[in-house]
Amino acid sequence: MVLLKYKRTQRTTGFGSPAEAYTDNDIDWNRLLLPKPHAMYFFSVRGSEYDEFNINDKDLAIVDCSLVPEIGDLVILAEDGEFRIGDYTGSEPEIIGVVSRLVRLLRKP
Amino acid sequence: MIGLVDCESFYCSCERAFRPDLKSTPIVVLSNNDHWIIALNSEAKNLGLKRGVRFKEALPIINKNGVVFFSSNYTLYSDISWRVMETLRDLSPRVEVYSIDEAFIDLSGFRNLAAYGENIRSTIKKQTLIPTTVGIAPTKALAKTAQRLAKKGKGVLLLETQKDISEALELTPVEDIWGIGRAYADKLETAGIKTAAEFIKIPEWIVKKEMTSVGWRLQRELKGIPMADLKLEADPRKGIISARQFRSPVKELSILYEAISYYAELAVEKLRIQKCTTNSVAVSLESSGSEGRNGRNASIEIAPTDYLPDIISAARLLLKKLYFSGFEYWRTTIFLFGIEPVTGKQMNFFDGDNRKKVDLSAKVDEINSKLGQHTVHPCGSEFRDDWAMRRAYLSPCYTTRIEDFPIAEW
Repeated sequence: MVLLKYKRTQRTTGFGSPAEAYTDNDIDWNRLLLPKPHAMYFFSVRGSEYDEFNINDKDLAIVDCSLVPEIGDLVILAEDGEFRIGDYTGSEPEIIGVVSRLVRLLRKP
Repeated sequence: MIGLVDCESFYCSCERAFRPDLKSTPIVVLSNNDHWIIALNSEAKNLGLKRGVRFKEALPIINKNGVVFFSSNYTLYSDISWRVMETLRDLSPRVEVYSIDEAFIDLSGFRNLAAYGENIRSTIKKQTLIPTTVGIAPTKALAKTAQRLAKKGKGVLLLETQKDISEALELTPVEDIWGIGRAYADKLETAGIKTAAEFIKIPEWIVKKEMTSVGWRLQRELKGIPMADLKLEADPRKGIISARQFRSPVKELSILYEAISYYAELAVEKLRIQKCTTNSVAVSLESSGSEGRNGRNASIEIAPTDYLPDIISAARLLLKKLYFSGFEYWRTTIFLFGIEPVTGKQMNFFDGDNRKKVDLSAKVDEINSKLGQHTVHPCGSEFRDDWAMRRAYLSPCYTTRIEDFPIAEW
């Protein structure tokens, strides 16, 4: 999965920049959002109103399937042949993973 | 000890992973252009469906039994295969990827192996949503034997003692011995040798004489003697994979280009031995830093080909997409999917002439490195847009396309 490539724009001044050796310090958003990419998935949330987790319709839930759910976590679960998003109470039969990050588009495309 | 981890009905399991409504539904996956069945799960097998049957001919059974069918979605399969292999790398210091859906893992020094086998299985299921079976034994051939038996049993089988091994060999008919081939299996059966237990009793010199050194190596492995140079080809119909870990970290894209070209060459060699073409190339690239390993992968579809320069240029395109400067890379992998026999229509100027083919791609590289990327590139490569597969029943790319992410209802 390729998520984001963030690179500082390099100025073309004609001279080599003395700071070039430090370009390794660029922020890697992959590491922030997908620390364990092979165990992480995106789900698109569908729902109407705000709720106690402050989730909106069309938010993107980043799900970490390597985590063990704890009471109160927001989780993705499979129920009646569908995926649902909800809080973990400990009695859900089939947990897909823990929602560890949420991406919200403040202006919908 | 060596473990063999095998994904259960891999293509179908991938299709099912994001369809909780298909829990015990029979599923089949169709070949390029939806011509025939290339993969099916056990539920579909139980209905009498078979690999290689034409889709049209199977339609009556499919419709009658509510079998769900999919066009092959190699983007999805390569992403999930990558996830399975990465998860295995979390679980063992040495992983040898054997095929798209199988890998050997080194478990030497590990304790409580039966429990660890369970752990491998449950971790993969949890993190990749794919069911697996695991065989653990002193050699690769025995690990495969154990995995075959685990499929019929509890999902994990450990062959630890001589008694475990003998029992497993008794239960393995010669035709089920890994890598033995139909012709040798028939020969052995004609000679009255029905099980692997009987096969290992044949004097070595006879095996060597009748079944070449390949058969002899296999026999030794089944006796529990590891053979480092054991070479067994994975079934290429599912896909071909070629991966290596670098001896020291690589930072430059140009070196990665060289590496991926070399692995592409190895993969294409396998493809050509099988007289097949590929139409889907995927590449993964793994970096490592202070925050641990980090891997990414990407895939692309191309016109069906066995032509090395086409495959190399596709692989390089993907690599370029995955690469960022400033990271140390440790491993790159190439996957070829959509493997099908070469058809009469296939154009093949360099067929059977490997030397020329390699020379040509080397020349292309040389010119491009002097005069800039894509100064010269093989015609009819992935840039051709007049080619499209018919895939009427394609599933979403759940894990790699924003528009296709699975939906979770509140």
